[in-house]
Amino acid sequence: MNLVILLFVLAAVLVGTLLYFLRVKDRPAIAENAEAGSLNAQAAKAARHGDLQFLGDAIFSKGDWDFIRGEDSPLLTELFREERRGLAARWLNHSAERIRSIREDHLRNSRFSQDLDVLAEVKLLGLFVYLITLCRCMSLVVRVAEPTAPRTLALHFEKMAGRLAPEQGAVVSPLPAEEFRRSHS
Amino acid sequence: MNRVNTRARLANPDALKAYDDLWQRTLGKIPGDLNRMIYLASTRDYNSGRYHHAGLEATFGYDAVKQALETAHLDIFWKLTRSSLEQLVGELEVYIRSSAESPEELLRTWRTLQPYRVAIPLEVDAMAAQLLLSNLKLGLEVLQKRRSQPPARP
Repeated sequence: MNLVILLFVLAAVLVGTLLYFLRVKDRPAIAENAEAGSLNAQAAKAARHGDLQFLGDAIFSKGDWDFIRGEDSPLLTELFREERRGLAARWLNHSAERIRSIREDHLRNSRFSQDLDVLAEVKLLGLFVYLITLCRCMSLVVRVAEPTAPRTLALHFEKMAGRLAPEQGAVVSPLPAEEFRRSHS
Repeated sequence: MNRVNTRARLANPDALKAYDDLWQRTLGKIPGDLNRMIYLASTRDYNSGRYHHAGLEATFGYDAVKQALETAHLDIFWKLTRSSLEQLVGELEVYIRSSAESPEELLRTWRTLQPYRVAIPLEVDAMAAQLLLSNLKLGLEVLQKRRSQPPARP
């Protein structure tokens, strides 16, 4: 439990430091040169994948947890814990993977850049590290605490991840169709 | 996802007409979104994943109807995925009430075979699909528990 507290403290220090650096209004998006797809393609994609910002909120929903506890059944409570832990683990792994992927894309693109802003790059690197660390913290909390415990962290994570350019993909981006099919087999 | 967004997505005028017709004549008369999603999934071929509706296709053509059915299916999927667990239990209750099967039989079949898995639209976000499936599984367990428990005496 001390380890969890220590990790929370570390995370809080990281948040404070990063908020200090990132308090710059109208911060430009990471990949301004990313090509936008056609409007129809974007609309179709949005329809398939929706606005996924709600996922973290839904997975760690306090309302659902209260509803299940209100049923007053230890079996249901345990099933809910299992289900939400599974979902949370998948969501966190996938989110961390996406952050890594965005970072790699950004690094690849920045190699060709002629006018790199060093301070902006350092801030961005900090944000990437912070988001990955936050994912790992939440993974730990999900294992040891109640299913809704990391809710505040998850909401904060989504907010921070929203700073990454949306055109490079949402944090919880769609999985390819073949992966979806595999997950149901 | 509201109707305004839907209208923006359905650029084809015939698809929009087919969508409105689908809601007016069919979906609007089906009680509950879960019921509607099951209905829409049933218009999809299991092997090809293509949507078919003979009546609508005769009026609006295959492509327009395919778009309308797919759009309606996605809209309802997202609405259900955003629902709370309590709301989803309500949807399951509506579905069970409107079914011709006995509630016990339906609950047993749904908990065992999980037929609701085939009601998910193709190629939607995997995490969102998992969330809905997990909530449906939990919802069925809630209903099973309520049915197996004797009602509290006043």
